[in-house]
Amino acid sequence: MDNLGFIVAGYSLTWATLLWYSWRTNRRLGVAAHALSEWTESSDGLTDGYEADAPPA
Amino acid sequence: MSGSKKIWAGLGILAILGSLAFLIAGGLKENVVYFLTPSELLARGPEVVDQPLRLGGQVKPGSLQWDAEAMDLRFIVQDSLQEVQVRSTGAPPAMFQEGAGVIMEGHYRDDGTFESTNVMVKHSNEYEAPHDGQKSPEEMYESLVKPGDE
Amino acid sequence: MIVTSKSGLANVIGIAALALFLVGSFVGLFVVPADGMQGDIQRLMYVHVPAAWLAFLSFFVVFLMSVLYLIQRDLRWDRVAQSSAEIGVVFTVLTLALGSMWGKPTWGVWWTWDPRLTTTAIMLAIYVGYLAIRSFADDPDKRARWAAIVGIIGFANVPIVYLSVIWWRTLHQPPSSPRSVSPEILWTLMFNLAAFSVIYVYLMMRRIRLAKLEGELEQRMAYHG
Repeated sequence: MDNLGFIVAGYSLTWATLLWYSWRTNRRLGVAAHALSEWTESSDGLTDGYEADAPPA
Repeated sequence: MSGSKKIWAGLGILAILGSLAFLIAGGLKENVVYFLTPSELLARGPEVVDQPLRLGGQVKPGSLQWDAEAMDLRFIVQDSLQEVQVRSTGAPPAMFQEGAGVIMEGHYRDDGTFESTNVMVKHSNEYEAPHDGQKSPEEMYESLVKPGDE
Repeated sequence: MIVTSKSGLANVIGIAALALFLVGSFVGLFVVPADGMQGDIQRLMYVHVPAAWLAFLSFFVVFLMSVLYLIQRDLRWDRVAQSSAEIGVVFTVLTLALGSMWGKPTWGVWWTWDPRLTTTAIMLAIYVGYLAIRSFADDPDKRARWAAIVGIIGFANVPIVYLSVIWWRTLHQPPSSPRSVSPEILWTLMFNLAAFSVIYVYLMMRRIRLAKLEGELEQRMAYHG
């Protein structure tokens, strides 16, 4: 294949970008879901420390 | 506002924005010129001498001179009416060839030649596997200039 | 982590997207013959063109959802618009980067300010702006309203990006059509377009869910804090 470097770089970039974005979204989703479940627990009256359970900004 | 009023208001906004976009695009359509053709360049003559500009056309078959040692490239770029002598230093892109559509950045000098600092090769929107009777670069050139430009 | 029934469906779609794009990449790289004029570098078409089309689709969804939001004032539409804008930005960045990698060996330059490239850069700026503007409003309804206005006005540029190569002289070639592309290349392109569309659906499902959870968190914090 000629221009192999460009072709490999292009396909690698595409795969890396899409996998990274998917990973990032799923991770944020996990963080948000966790924060929300902690919230529900603390709102049930077990603790009052919901501010400490807020998700990282 | 009631629901139907909102819908009409929305449609109204859409109509206004649509026509605005149409006007802007229409205005741009007249004014956006990415490159000049050889005919346009020669018609404008002295006023464009030494001004930075882009020139686009077809590499005239048989006009190509390439001195690899001096990295000196000379060729004629043409449209259907006029032609301009081009000189350029540095190796041209791999797809550069006689008959190809090219766009150059540089300056038109008062000796009537175009001094190019950057040669770009246009390719067509046609894609097919290699076969006998390969499409000629001349056919590719047809996609360079819009119908009605010449 | 809360597992919902929706994430089960999303996972199935995600795996399908992965499989489709694996096949699409393999066919594009190793099976289909490359264009005779350009050689193998034309294989970048199978990622550059679908990325561009999905960017257009993403921003069309932003436009539709913005209109729907302004009519119904339902934050659900705003969350879909926000998600689609973010994914559209990812596809636009990919389109520009891949176009650059295709341009260098064929045109001879990484970048030029021709109308297609310039309007695409403007499109990216508009939707980065769309996402930025969202962070300036604390009130969800106000934020959704501002965003919707940008989402509608900003969309005016999208058809201009597409038509730029038809209206104006450009270095970029005009759009291909089934007449200008041989069948095996066309089918490979269509397959990859389908793969990218499924990727879009998967990313949208996850991103909308994230927006929903973040909205709920924001609501609780505002209520208690």
